[in-house]
Amino acid sequence: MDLGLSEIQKMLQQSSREFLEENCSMQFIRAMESDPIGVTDELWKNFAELGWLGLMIPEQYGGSGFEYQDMSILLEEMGRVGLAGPFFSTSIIAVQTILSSGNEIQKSQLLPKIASGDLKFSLSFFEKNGNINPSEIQTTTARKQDEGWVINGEKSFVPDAASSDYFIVAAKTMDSQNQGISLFLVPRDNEGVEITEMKSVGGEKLSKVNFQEIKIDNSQLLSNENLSWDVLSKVFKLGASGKSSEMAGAATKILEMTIDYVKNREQFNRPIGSFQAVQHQCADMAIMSKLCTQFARKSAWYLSNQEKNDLEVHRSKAYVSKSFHDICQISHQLHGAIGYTWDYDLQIYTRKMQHQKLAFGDYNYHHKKISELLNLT
Amino acid sequence: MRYTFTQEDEEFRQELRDWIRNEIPVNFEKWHGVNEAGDDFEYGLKIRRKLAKKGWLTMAWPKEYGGQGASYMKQVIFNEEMSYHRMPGRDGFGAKMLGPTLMVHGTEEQKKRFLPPIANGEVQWCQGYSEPDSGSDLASLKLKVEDKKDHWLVNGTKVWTSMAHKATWIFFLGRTDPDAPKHKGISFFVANIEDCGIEVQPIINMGNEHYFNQVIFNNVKIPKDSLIGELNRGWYIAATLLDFERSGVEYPSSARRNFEEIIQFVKKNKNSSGEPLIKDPYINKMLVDLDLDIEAARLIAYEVAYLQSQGEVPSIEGSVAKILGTTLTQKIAKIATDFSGIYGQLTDSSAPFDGKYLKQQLHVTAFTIFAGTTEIQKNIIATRGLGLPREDKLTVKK
Repeated sequence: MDLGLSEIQKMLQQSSREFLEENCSMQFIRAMESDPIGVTDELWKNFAELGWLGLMIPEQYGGSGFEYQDMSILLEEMGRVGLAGPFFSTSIIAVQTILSSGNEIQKSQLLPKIASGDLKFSLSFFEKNGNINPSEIQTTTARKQDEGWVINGEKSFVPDAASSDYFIVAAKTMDSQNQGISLFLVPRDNEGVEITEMKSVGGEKLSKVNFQEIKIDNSQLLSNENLSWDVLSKVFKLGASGKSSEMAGAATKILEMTIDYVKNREQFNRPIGSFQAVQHQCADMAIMSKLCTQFARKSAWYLSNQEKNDLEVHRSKAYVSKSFHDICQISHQLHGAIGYTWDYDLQIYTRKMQHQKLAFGDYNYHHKKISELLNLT
Repeated sequence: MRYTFTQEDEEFRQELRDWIRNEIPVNFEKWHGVNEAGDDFEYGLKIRRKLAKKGWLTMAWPKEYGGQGASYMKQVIFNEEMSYHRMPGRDGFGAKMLGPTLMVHGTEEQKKRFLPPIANGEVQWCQGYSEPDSGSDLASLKLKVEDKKDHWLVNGTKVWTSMAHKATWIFFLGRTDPDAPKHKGISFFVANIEDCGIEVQPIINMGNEHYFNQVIFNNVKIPKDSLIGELNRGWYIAATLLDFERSGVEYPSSARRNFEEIIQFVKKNKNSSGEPLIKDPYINKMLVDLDLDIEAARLIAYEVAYLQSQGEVPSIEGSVAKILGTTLTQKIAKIATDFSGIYGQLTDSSAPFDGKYLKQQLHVTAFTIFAGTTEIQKNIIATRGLGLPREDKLTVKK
């Protein structure tokens, strides 16, 4: 049992905090919220130089060869400054998808270009319901034709569509209730791709993407035909744990903001932070924030080190999704009217929370999974 | 990072678990533990002596005092397994609190006299801190201790003294300088209850149990060598004592055992409308939330032990562990009575678990009160942990 960070993780934590605090001010985060891409070319280039884009990519494919548990520390820091943008979809979700399902040619062609910042990807899985389940794929199909495939269907909640060079499209390739899913690489500028924006409250870039008679050749089949659910469920676990880490980082930041505020805000001739009614709410926030970090780190560690990790991921996302919302709510209560204004930065975290707590399974979804794993059904 | 125990630790867990399962007089599934403060006190002592022989009772002690200098994680495992298996025999007052205090503050003679009986599991101690007018504000305590040259004269009352009715000895805090600031006029003493003529009166709790007592010192004379450490430094001596072990892992591990027991019940039984309890969405939600609460308390307990293993003194983490652990025990007792429907009020054999969890619900009401209430713990987190100003120390601007 070693609940501390490794030396490498400590270095990553410190260097990323310094970089992000300097380069991702709240002014920048606000600007990126209304920006269609959510990141600048310059920042993306910096990410590549820092080795973050290829953090999880093995060295043989041009990456830094770190583990997901290390990435989770970087995600805490990104959550801390409220940075969204295509990093999560490309450097975690797409990298993991390609690593788990790509063949050698695909890996050696695509991964180095992710690490260098030349290619961005977006996993297009969800359709109408937004459920993490093989049956989610109802409209998207791929049929064999000539030496390749033809894809049709409509995806929803596709992240970072405008900035992605490729979509990784999950399509039905066999008429089976739970299986028969395959993954395909579809260039964004392919004829027949139509993108419609979905407006998410925290500035997350989400879209509907319509695929109409998309013709691609065999080399763009990313996985073995029909075998992709195992890959996807693993990817979704990283997504759930990763969003937990983002929220844990944001929770720590919000706690700091709140403590700072109640120490300085005076009413009745004293700092409001001297009132026990306020102090006990701060203590509640501190407890939950500490637990968010512990749950998130535990799930990240399990993902990197243990075969059986489902339960820890579900516990993490269930606990953090619920508690982080509570933390935001308490923080607003303690900030009073000022925290409720558009100009005050607290609300940025609160709006982003709405995406983070729902992404890759909400409290109810993970709750149900825990119930199944504990045989409470 | 590493969220599992080492192989060596796991081997110790297995050894301990084998021993415990062998020691339990009935099938493990049917074992509900015993009442060490009542009829089963002698049985508890018997187990304590066996733990002593195994070297486990004082394994946390340094080797020079006959301990093993066991790691904090090993101590955590010991507490986890003992709590999970509802085993009696641990010695919170002697082995865990007084022993380590004596090692730091006791004279050679005091160590020689008091440590071996604790290490051998032969003696029951109790702790005299709270007084009728000094609860959360412990430093305001008034029990008067006067220096009468050849002895100390003690007058006053201690209250909520757990196990005093079974203990041979008491360690306590008394006021030795009434004129000094409140923290600086307190000293730490030990006394033999019967030999010194200290009176112990039972207090029956709302669960109709006898755990704690009122302890009355009426012109009690205690020998000069009863003082532990320096005169008037008792508050600080007691504070070092509290820093020894605060992981609180016993709460989540006993909760895990109760959780498993409750699940077995829920799977076999129906609600008042005849539906299987396990299909009831309300119960399902409560149980999963409980699983999260247990894991939360466990994670924090591990964090406390981890910090201790790094040579740090946990402060806020200890308070967090105490809040989460004790709140958890109350939740689990409530849930186990909630699904009983109208039978939830019964304490006889027609109630689920023969009313065990209802009794426990009454019993654990004390948990968020003793050893620093939840409110005091939150004050500690806010002031010591988060640096917020203490309300009682505040100078209000005019």
